[in-house]
Amino acid sequence: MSIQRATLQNGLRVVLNVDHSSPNVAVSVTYDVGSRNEEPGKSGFAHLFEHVMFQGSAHVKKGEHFTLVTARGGTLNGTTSTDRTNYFETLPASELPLSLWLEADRMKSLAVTEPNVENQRAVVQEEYRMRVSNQVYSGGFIKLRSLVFQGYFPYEHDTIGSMTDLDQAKFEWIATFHDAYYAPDNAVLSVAGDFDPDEAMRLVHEDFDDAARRKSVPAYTPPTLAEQTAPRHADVADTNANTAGLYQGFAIPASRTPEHYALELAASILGQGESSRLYQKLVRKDGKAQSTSVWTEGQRGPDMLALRVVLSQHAKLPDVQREVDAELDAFAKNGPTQVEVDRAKTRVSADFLFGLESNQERAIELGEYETYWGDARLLSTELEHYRAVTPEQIKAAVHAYLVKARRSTVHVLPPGPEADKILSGKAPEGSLCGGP
Amino acid sequence: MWWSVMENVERSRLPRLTPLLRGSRAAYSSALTALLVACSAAPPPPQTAAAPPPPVPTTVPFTAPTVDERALPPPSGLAPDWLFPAIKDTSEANGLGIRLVQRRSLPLVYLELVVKSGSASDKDKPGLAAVAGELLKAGGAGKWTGTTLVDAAESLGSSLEVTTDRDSTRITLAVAVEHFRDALDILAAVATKPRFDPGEFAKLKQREHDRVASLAKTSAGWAASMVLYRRLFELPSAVHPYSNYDATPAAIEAIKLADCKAWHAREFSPKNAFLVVAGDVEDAPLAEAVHASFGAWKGDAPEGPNFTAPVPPSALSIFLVDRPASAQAEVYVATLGPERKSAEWPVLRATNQILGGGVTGRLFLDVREKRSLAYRTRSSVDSLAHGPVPIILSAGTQTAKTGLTLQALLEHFDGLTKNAPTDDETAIATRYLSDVFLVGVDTVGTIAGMTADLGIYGLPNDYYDTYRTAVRAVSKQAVFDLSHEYFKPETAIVVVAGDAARLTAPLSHFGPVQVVDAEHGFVIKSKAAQDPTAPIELPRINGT
Repeated sequence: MSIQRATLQNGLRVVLNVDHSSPNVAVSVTYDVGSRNEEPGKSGFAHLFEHVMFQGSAHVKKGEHFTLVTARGGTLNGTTSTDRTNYFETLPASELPLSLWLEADRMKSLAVTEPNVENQRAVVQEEYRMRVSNQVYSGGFIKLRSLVFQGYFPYEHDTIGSMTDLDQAKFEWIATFHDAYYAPDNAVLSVAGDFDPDEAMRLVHEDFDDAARRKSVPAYTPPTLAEQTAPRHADVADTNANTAGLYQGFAIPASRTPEHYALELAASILGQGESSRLYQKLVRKDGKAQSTSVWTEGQRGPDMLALRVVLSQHAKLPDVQREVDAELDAFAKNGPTQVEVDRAKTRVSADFLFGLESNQERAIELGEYETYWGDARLLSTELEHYRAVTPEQIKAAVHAYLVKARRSTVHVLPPGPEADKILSGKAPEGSLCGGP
Repeated sequence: MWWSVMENVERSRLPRLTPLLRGSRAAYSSALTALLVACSAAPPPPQTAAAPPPPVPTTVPFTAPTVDERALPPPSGLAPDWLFPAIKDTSEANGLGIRLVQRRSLPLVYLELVVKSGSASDKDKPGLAAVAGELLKAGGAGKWTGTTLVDAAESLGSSLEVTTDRDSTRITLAVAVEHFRDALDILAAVATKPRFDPGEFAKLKQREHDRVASLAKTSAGWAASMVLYRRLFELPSAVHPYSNYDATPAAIEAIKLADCKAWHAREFSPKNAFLVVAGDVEDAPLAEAVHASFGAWKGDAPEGPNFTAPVPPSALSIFLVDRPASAQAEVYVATLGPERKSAEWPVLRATNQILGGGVTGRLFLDVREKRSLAYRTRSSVDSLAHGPVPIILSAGTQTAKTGLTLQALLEHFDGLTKNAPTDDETAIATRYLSDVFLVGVDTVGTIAGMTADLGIYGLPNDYYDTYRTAVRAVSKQAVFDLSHEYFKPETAIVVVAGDAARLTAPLSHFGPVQVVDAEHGFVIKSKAAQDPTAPIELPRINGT
């Protein structure tokens, strides 16, 4: 993978990846701000800004960002996670100047106005209703995050934030948040696809050189994540659910550490694909689950390994819980087989190749690598880390991190007597998801 | 978990999501995809225009020079001269078509065996094609049991997928090129030598039963689509092949193992199938490998289903799928448009784009950005191989504003017949539909899928290239005329999935309401007469 890097005088980092195999070009701007940068009582700001960033800037009218990109055959979006916010466009190769001009204009002169904030505050609340209140098992995962990262606010709250916080947020707070984070010295511009790198850099200088550095620079000072010494549990009543669900989560080391590579392969062996242990056991053999999945969140750190089981109609939560516990115990005790490790590595290699096929995916990933780890070129060598993992390292990592004392569990209860206890406030550890 | 400014994150059609790179995104995007099934539409695809196309413009009207050039967007460049990759068509002696698209940028191969029978071939057993298709994999095939089959596929670094839509069953594997022959052997076994293991069939049936029972309870989009397709494809005395969007739990119960075997024997034959191969493969090794894997496959093409023209309603019909205590309502307004192979297709695509096909559509700009009624709102066009296609407007909104949202969708439904499209709207829509091809063609999975679509819809190999020219030639007058022909309020079908206890009254403002019970066979459980005096906006209760 051809990767060129540069840094402008105002601190904007630039990553270029030339690939002429498709007639398009993707541009991504990754801002080093996510929900981890929010304060208690001010959650959801990073995500709200993701919306406001499409409301216009000095030379781009409200809605015109959409119009200009679409009118030239492009696609665009923005996403927010715990660790970053990104904005990206993919356009026919001839339209690179437009993409850079648009990103530069909103970096330099976003229209942070009360009407724009109010308008998007209402849209975000509809998004919350659609993706949380009306989305089965969604509330269970938000609860799981709060258990795993209990007392560690950066990751304890979900990225979409609290609707109460959003309702009560004053415009000045939101404007201050913008001043702090949306500037060239806190961003990475990545370009991937069919373009000339010299011409691209000329345009980058033309559009971005006069972007001003931040007015204020808040330091990111996360608290220490206290070591968990006893299991945590919560029941959640989900009025959208038809069958029960089970979540488990474990705090694990940061991404790109040796333990994390081993645990990613462990997640693959446990719950990715139909040949995985949990799928074979719970779905195919016992018929106790409709689906199983195990994944790592990919956070800068600390990270979380999470597991989700959606139960079959006649399965019982305690039974499934026992079977999951037994699988994890056996995995920690015996480790994976060589065949499982080989299959997981092959899967990772194929996913890596297919996952980076498109210019848009590469632009996004390169932006994240530069932002998170300081050097986008690390993406090129990533597979080597997975290939080097041994079965013994996987066993040791599972034994160290996926143990009962470090486990957080959420049982998602469909409407019924158990859920009613939560709804009536008689279940001390319960909470309500979905419904009014 | 991450959140996006638009619901449909515009991404290429990846063959799978990457745990390595995506972290939890895989888990959450799959849930979202399930939610969107009801209204997702295939990317633009097209129809050759009969008239000679005008010259392709190289700019759109945003480029007038002024004193401060940096205050204006850069002028539009000339879109690259790009053609869809050549498709090399050959066939086996048994009639199996082979469609090869060579692409050598990465050492990858995407294999897609397409059988031209989907849920439209269910006959009187809704869900049969989907269950039988999945059983080909779950029940084992050739030398493999169900378990060793997925082991074998995943050892190649791939997921073996069997997908069923209305018109096709597709078996896919995506592998590194060195695993190409092994992958082909697996595909051939699944298609031609399924074991139909009775034990696995029983388990699969239970899983499918649970799946649709859960969807009936948990997915507003799924439940609404079930009603929408039944009503759009209603016939006076027969069941239209497209009327079943999915199966009910009772329909799954009724499927027997013998039905699956009979369906496979009837529909799976080399004369009813073709193999798409996209990636880094040479002609001769491919022909040799296909012959070795599929050469012994025999059978004749099946007799297809009868696609009688559906009967449109004579007055606005409103169906309310009850979701007690739901925090949000999903609102759909739909009708039928021209056929997929019609010469009107490029005009329909442009019309849809102007109406609500994306972030420049009227729905997004008005219902979301101006009125703040919804996070997700759009219009879409379904692609079907036979007969008229559904055109669907949709929005998700809070319960209190459901009436207002329906009112907005109905205003836009025939809005193009009252407020004709502007020159700008037409230019933006047609340029987008033409040039977005250039941004969606950088994965072998996308190329393979687009090649498969040509075969399913009976379109020529140069179709995507001629479509780009044809869609640029669409005029605002053509959009206006098409809107008059197809967007007739009296033939619209409205489906709302939400809390019937609160929503029956405001919806009755627009017409008589029939309340549907999705968890009990989609029966009509109550009716309400039209009440034009009913207020359409409700007071909010607990924030909804």
